[in-house]
Amino acid sequence: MDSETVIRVKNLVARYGDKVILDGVSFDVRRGEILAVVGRSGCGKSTLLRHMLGLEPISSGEVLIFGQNIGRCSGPELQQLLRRIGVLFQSSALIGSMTLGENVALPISEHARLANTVVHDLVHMKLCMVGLAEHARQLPSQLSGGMRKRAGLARALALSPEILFLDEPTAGLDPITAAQIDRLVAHITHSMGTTTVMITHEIESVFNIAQRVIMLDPTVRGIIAQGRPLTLKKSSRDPLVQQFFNRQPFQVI
Amino acid sequence: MGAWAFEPLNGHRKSMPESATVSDKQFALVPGKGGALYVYLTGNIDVQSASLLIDKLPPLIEKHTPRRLTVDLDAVQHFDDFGALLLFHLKHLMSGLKGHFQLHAVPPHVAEVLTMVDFAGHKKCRFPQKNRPLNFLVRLGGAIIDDAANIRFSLSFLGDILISLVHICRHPRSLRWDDSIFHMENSGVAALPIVGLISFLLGLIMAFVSSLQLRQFGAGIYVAALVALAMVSELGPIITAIIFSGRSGSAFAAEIATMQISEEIDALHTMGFDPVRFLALPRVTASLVMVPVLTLFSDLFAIAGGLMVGTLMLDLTASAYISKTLATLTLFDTLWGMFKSVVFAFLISWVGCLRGFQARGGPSAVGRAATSSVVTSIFLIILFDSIFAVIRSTW
Ligand SMILES: Nc1ncnc2c1ncn2[C@@H]1O[C@H](COP(=O)(O)OP(=O)(O)OP(=O)(O)O)[C@@H](O)[C@H]1O
Ligand SMILES: [Mg+2]
Repeated sequence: MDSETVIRVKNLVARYGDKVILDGVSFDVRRGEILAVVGRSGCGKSTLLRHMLGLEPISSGEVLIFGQNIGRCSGPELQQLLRRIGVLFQSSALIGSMTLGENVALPISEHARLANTVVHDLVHMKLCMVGLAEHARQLPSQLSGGMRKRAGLARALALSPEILFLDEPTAGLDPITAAQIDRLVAHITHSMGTTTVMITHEIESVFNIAQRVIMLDPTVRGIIAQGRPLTLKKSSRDPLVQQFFNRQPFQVI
Repeated sequence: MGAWAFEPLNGHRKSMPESATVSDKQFALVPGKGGALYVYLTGNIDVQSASLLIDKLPPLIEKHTPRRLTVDLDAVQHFDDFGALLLFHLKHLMSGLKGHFQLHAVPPHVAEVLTMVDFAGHKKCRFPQKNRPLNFLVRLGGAIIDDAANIRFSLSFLGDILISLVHICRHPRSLRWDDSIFHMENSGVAALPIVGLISFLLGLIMAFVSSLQLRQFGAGIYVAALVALAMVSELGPIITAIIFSGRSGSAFAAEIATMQISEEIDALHTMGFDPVRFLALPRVTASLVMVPVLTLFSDLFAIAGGLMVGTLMLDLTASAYISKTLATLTLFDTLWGMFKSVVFAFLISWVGCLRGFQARGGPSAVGRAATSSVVTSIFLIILFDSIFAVIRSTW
């Protein structure tokens, strides 16, 4: 694993009980790139993410992040590693009893030794980035779904992580806000050298900001195609890939 | 950038200037002419280092009381929004000192981060202060209005349940029997061990404590009468109701509150279900059936506890104890106890469901609903029990 490979997934098998969701998935993520993970609903994208973060036990295969095997890290090592990673969950996973500002401040005040006023400034800055600065004092239950998503993104960005995992960052957003979020992700990745793994259903954002894309499919329980988005669209002969990029309904082939 | 003297460096520089007054691995301060101060930053100015710099730099700069601060970013490598925060702090510091602030030799990647966080337009921010506590009268008024709304909702909910119950008596098929049976099992059958154990111990304690007194008069046999009467007409219904409210009433509240805050109840509503009939009725009917049954068991277990004390400590025979118990109890006492337990069952399930439906907000609302259902139902149980006692004594 060279220094430019930040994440390496090797022959990962993911299962819930007896049900195998992913069977032997392998891919690399390189430093500073945006990797889009696409695929039909229920094909195991969120499952892949949970396994990459060590939230589910890995039944076979391995996930290396910064060269460290996520499945075999000891508790403190894992903590150390996860601190360098920001995650936006599909359901946003904001803490319901805390205001937006407190949600974003939570990792900052826990991990970066900063004075309270500085934390406030930083939280304000992060919320500005996602356009929620006026809502800092509201509870998650007082926000719309799209606003919660953006707040989740602000929290994922809180510690300026080296790796960003985003599970459908633009789902439920209007096209304008979605494009802004795309641009923000691209900016962050570009200017701070962040590495981003982004699960998405938006073909637009795949073409706009992703350098590479991998496509999962439930029929093979793994990757059916990977490469540069445009190349895939133009040259892949796989009908599933073509259907996906051209937004055709699924047909049995 | 503005036109200002920038003496110590010419051309490209990747190391610290030598004329620095204070220097560190990451920064150097160089005073210039006419109150100018140059700050050179090097290396990674990011989440790792920025917090230290935010602590260290401002006091050092303040010591110079510069009229013009120039921050040179030429040698900065990794830079993120924590770095931007540092610059922003310095900028704010200078505006506090009524001085001039400038950036110099901004590398492209730093410039990109600065644009992203809107460095130029960024204002010093404070979260709005916590709302000041309102005037006492305003709060009192608010509380009264809330309580009134609360009472209205509670009464209309009570009406809903009663109407639905009547409806079910007339059309028994409209009840969701599967759910009702599930709840009977969950909150009734599963509660039997704990109800039994607590009642048994209660009977034991009562018999033991009273035996100490009664034995002195040679009236040990009256222990049987005391335990039976106290349990069947008073303690049995109350203790069962209290256990039931803690075990199942709170569960009703928490389940329904969870559904409420995650819009599941709204979903039921839009699908044309009546949430009260769908969720509350199975729980209410299950309670109405199970609480009296549990009460009966509670009575039996308590009598068994008394029996144990009677035979082991008072040298009574089991048959003497039981026949005294039977002689003491009247059918009316038993039915009266059952009647009370039905009323308690209704109160507990009504309050549990009510608190669930009233829940609003986030996850903490679920906890509040559960707590308040237990507190309210215990209060109501005691209140109604006293009312029943008055009714009986004036009978
Ligand atoms: N906790 C779980 N237990 C059992 N099966 C699960 C669990 N979570 C997910 N699954 C199954 O795993 C499969 C993949 O789910 P996953 O959430 O990863 O899909 P996804 O690709 O993220 O879909 P979407 O795009 O809709 O979010 C699904 O078939 C789902 O039924
Ligand atoms: Mg998913």
